[in-house]
Order: sequence, then C-alpha cells, then structure tokens
Amino acid sequence: MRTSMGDLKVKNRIKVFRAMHDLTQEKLAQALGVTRQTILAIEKEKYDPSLSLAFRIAYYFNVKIEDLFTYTNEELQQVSGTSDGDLPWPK
Amino acid sequence: MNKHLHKNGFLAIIGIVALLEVIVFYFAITVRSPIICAIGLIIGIIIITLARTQIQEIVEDERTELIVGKAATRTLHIVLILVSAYAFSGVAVILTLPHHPCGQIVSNFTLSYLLLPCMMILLYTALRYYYAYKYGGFESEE
Repeated sequence: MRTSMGDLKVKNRIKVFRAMHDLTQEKLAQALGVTRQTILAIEKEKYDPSLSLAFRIAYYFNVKIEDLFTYTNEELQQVSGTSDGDLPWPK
Repeated sequence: MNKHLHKNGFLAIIGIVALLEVIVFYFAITVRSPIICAIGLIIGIIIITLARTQIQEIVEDERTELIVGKAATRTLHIVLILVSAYAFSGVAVILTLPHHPCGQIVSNFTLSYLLLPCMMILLYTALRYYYAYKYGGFESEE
C-alpha cells in the first residue's frame, strides 16, 4: 500500500517462534486451521494475514501480537538510519 | 460434522465425474437430447461441490479466498468485455447486412449474447450490494 509516509510493510517473526517451538509449517497450519501455503506466504511476507489470523497466531505462541508482527516503514528507515523503521505511535 | 474424504479421494471423484460427463455427452448426442447433457453437467457439478465439503484436509482459508476472489473479479472483467464486444459487433453485422443469408443466425446469437453481459452486470450489482451490506457500509453513524 502506498501512503504519504512511504511503503509500509508488515514484518513478522513467525519462523523464529516456530523454530523455538520446534514446529513444522504443516503442524502450525493444522493448529490454526489454515493451509501450509498460507503459513509459508506469511513467513515470506508475501501475504499479510487478517487481524483475526494474526491474533490466533499470537495466542497460539502465547505472545503479544506486536512481538510477532511489526509495521515498518522502509523509506523512513533508510532516511533516518538510526530507527529500526517502526512507526512512531501517537503519545 | 465428520469429514471422510482425503484430498486424493476427491481428485479421484473429479476424474470419475469427468469420465461420466463424457459418456453422458456422447449419449446426449446419440439420442439428440441437449437437455440430458445440461442435466448431466449440473448433477456433476453438484456431486463435486458436495464432495469438496467432505475433504478432511484444510484446502480453503482466507488466503485462498482472496486469491479466488481476485482471480474471479479479473475473469469477470475480461469475460464481460469480450462478450460485450462480440455482442455489439454482432449488432453491427445485423445493421450493416440486414439481408445477408447468415443474418438470422447472427441476430439470434447476438440477442442471446447481449442478454449475457446484461445478466452479468445485474448479478454483479446485486452481489456487490449484498456484500457491502454484509460487511458494513450502509450505516450512517459516526
């Protein structure tokens, strides 16, 4: 999605959490009620899951959703050089 | 509800139904009855649809729905354009060649083809309103 703030991209750490729990894509997909291809597409960041699925994944690993998913601005990251690209939240 | 069918079993059913469709098609031609062919096709589709609901493995999720939705929308656009172009070129043929020997055949085809895009547009509009209602959009509250 193109916005005035540049290209926004959802990044995730599902592969890391899957490795920590010694889970295959197939097992995780079965547990979440989706296809293995969907888990693969999310891990490759080719598909952004729905809020519902994102929460289901977070609940499954017993972590907060923001531990799994981050919403980054690559343009901002390149300009600032210091930030990890995470969007600043309103105070 | 318990599901009994494996993915390979489902593929086997598709194969058997396809084979039966060919036999029905051949039989329909032999007895010169197009209605048999149409009924056979509808029954085949119903069998495959019912069998699909019995597959044990997960074959559909939000991603496949998105893919199917996008592919269907794009297909609808292309088919609509092609059918409309064919229908309107048929109208042009009728108007420019009113006494052509093929005029009657062309006009029959054209009329049936003109109905198709009209029905598609009506169906699309109705479904568009249905899904807009289902997923919100008519509410005026803020």
